[in-house]
Amino acid sequence: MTEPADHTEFVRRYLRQRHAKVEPDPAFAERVLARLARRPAELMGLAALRLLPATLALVMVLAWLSIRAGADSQPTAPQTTGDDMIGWLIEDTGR
Amino acid sequence: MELTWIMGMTGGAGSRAADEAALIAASREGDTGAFSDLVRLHQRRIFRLAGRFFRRREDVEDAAQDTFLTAWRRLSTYRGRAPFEHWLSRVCLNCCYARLRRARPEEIQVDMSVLREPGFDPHAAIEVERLLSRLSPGDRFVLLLLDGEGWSVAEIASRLGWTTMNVKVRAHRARKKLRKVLTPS
Repeated sequence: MTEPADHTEFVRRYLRQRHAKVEPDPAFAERVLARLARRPAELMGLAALRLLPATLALVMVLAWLSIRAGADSQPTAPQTTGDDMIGWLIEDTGR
Repeated sequence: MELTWIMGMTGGAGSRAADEAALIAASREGDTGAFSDLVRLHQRRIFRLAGRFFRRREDVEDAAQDTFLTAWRRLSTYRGRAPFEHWLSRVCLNCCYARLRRARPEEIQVDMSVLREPGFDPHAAIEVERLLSRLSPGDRFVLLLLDGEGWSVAEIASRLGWTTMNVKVRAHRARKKLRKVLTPS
């Protein structure tokens, strides 16, 4: 351990030299350009991913609306059968 | 655009700045060749800066690549009021900070090349690394820029877009923890 008086200096010296010799290799710029060329496709993919939750939510809302609309179009009164119609006609003509 | 970048052979700082401005203008127009020259011009500095925050070379490479890709995308926002190098280092810092916040803690490992130099206590170095791994990304970030890069509080605040008070508080907190770790009980 270092003495309290010089620990700040030790930390400074250590941090100044720590990982200070990391150098890019000669092909680094080419790799950046290669990623740049891939970028439009990457961006479109990311945009699609970002839109996915919204799309799913929209699909679910539409599905729910169509189910509800289907339920609403069901007749509230019971279906009249052929027998009912005949009975009603007989009653009507009998008046 | 074909420009050869050999530092010190382009005829002085003024000429270099003019060449750099030409490269930036061409890159803005979508000239990837010019941008490639810009990358070559600044890659060492960006690598060194990103290297402060990550131990693994792949992480340094990814952070540096992210920096240049972001720079390409946002080149239109560079107004030329500050040196391009400052703008680029700010982009780099933002990329590194975002990556640091996402990253899982790295295993503690001392940079052995540093320990080969005289006057370095391996135990203290391990303690520093252990502390760095425990600090919050923001505090670690400030400490590495202050003591590693030798930047001032004002410089860090302006390049990160943070308030000087925020930087001071983080620096104070990080150094206090360091003192506690390194002071024999």
